[in-house]
Amino acid sequence: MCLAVPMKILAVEGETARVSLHGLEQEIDVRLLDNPAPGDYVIVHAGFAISRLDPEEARKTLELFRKYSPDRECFSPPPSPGERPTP
Amino acid sequence: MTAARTISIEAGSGGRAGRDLVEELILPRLNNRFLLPLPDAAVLDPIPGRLAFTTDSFVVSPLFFPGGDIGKLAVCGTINDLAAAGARPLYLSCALIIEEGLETAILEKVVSSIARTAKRAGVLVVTGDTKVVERGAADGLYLNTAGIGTVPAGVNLSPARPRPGDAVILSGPPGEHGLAILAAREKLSVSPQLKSDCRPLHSLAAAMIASGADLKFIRDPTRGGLAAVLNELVGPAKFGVEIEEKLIPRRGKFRAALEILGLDPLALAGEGLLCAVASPADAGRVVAAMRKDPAGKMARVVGRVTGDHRGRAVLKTEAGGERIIDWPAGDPVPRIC
Amino acid sequence: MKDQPLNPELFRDPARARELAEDIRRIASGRSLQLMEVCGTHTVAIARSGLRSLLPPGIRLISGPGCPVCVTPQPVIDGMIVRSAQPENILATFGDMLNVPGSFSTLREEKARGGDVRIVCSPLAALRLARENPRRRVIFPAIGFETTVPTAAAAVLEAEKTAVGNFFLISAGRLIPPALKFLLSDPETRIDGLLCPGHVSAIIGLEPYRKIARRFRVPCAVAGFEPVDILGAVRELVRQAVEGRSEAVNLYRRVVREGGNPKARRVLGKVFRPAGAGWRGLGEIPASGLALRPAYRRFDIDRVSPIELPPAKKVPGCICGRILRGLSDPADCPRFGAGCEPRRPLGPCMVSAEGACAAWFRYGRRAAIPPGETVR
Ligand code: SF4
Repeated sequence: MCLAVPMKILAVEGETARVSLHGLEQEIDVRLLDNPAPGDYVIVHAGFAISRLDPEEARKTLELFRKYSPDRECFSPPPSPGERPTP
Repeated sequence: MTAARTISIEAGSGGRAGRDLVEELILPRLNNRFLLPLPDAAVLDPIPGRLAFTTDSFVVSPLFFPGGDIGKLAVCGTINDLAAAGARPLYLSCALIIEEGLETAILEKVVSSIARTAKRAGVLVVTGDTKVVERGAADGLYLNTAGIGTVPAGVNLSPARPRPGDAVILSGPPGEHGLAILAAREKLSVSPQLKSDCRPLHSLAAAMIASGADLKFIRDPTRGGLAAVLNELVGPAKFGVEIEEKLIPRRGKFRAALEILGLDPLALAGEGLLCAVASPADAGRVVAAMRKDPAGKMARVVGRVTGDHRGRAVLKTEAGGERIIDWPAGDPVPRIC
Repeated sequence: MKDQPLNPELFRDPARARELAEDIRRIASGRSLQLMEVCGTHTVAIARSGLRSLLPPGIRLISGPGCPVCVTPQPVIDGMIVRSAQPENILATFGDMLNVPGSFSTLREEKARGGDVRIVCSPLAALRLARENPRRRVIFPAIGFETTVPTAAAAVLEAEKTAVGNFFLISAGRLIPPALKFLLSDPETRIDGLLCPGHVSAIIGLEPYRKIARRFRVPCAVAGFEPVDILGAVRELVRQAVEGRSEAVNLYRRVVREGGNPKARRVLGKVFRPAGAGWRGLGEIPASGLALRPAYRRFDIDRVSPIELPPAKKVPGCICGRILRGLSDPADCPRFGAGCEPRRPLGPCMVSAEGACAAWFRYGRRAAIPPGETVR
């Protein structure tokens, strides 16, 4: 329901930021995000950054989405510290 | 006449104002020996060989867009239709339908652009017409061009000729004109600007033919994009077509815009690319010839004609799935959902 | 985006996709399972990348209520259309709404007849239009879910702060968890797993799905939108279903935080409050819509200038409602491809690019391909 694309923040000025994707630059609004900074990757929807991308989590997800093998956990990821476990 | 800042309805009458418009604004820009005496019909020199003859009307908003304008578009569009028939373009006609009140400066710019584009492509605009319609009856300016070209002996292009195994070739990234127009119309503020790929393709087509390959089908995917061309190709046919998504030429900026706007490049118009079918043995030769032309630098084989899934164009997606490429529905609009 | 591992190409890798599909086939081992992709963007992604052709025949993906265009009730759409025809208004809308058939017309038709309809890609662009046209009323249909509505809320706050008096909303936002609960409470629905919307979840976080998973014993997987994301989530759902588990897991952790985006929720909550609302095809669902809070009522066009609408016309034969509830496939509709197609849509599911009918028609017409077979 919500088309949103990952873009990289180049510069922040007040509530707006300049972002880029494949060399295409655009201005977006960052007021829905805490402490946006240049270099951050953000998810942009309807002209607003709605979330920040986490490269480490992307790596972990790719790791998870490998072919199932019995000696490796491939499914429900373990909760990270501070998260409540799945009941 | 040139003093007037806007075009009046009288300029479209058969009277003095109309004559002034043609003599002062159009002729100085489009002059040639066929046009000059302003006869009712241009009498051309004898043309040897088979003739190709086409016409197209051009309606575009905005009239000026990054990478072109309605004048350039109207000349390229007809040249490219001839090129897709394998013809060398020679002569064009050009008719203008002007909305009363159009700024004279705009018309001047468009006519200059027509002249420049025709000159570069080596074609002559040999006849034309001007009409002015009441305010509100048109959107600024419409153009119609028709064109005549000669088809070299041995060229045999028809959607009935492709056979299973033949290669489908694309000269460049699809959908760039449509995307640039959309970005300009919706005032999408991105930088750098997305430029239309609008350009004449006759030398690209000539290079393809000169390669000596057995070309079976050529089209320029304008309105409706590659999706429409492929569906037209497989429509009545006893074969199908399979395109590999990962082989389709793409350029970063345009890809980004497609993702942001949620659009499918296959359904968007290009004005500077050709889609061709050639026998598999000849495909390499055609592609090599295309890459030597500035309009064909990104040319490559993107798929093949198949014996199965007859009557359908199928996309093998990047992820390894398959889907039908359907006729595009209506004018694409940016979406957020 | 070259920076590994954020490069989306990695999530489109055909080798990985194939491996995941093999896993799914093996784990499902012939069982038939119905998984609902809640989100319309998933519907489009699945159709565009042809993922159905990779899944074993028993695994059915059905399209849920997550297409704002499809679930917006007819009277709301009629209201937009009527307002777009009034000369004092500029209707500034997301492109998605342009072709939605109202009872008597569409926004595109009104535009052709001279209605001032503008396409915007952000609510802030609508606000800008209001500033540029101080003598006109700029009306923005605030459609969408938890992802989109905070952006409309931000525009309202901005309009308030900068004293823009001619900017108005048609408040048509909807909330996903109440709709899911409503669907799952219906004894007729059979859903073995929920593919949960990645970008809605980026705002609301995991907690709502944990509750749903527990209460309705249905596995929930929050997923991204690349093919590998979707297949990975399907594998998770199939495994849980096979093992009889029902947990909510987050497989889109690069974007979705456990607690969502509290700042966006605060902005949303400041301007809107939950209210009962109608969903096309589903009916009235308590606390599933969003109404402007009293302090912001002056932005509500339906309050500032109510209009009388002729009674909405129903599309005879349209089964969008059943499709949204996962009870039917588009191909089950007698009008699918026979009178209803993207060029001449009858129901909303055919209009929106992410509507189930349009996605099926465009990217994998089942009417033309026998079920369970790929196109080859
Ligand atoms: S095919 Fe058309 S009429 Fe049938 S359910 Fe879909 S939108 Fe409604």
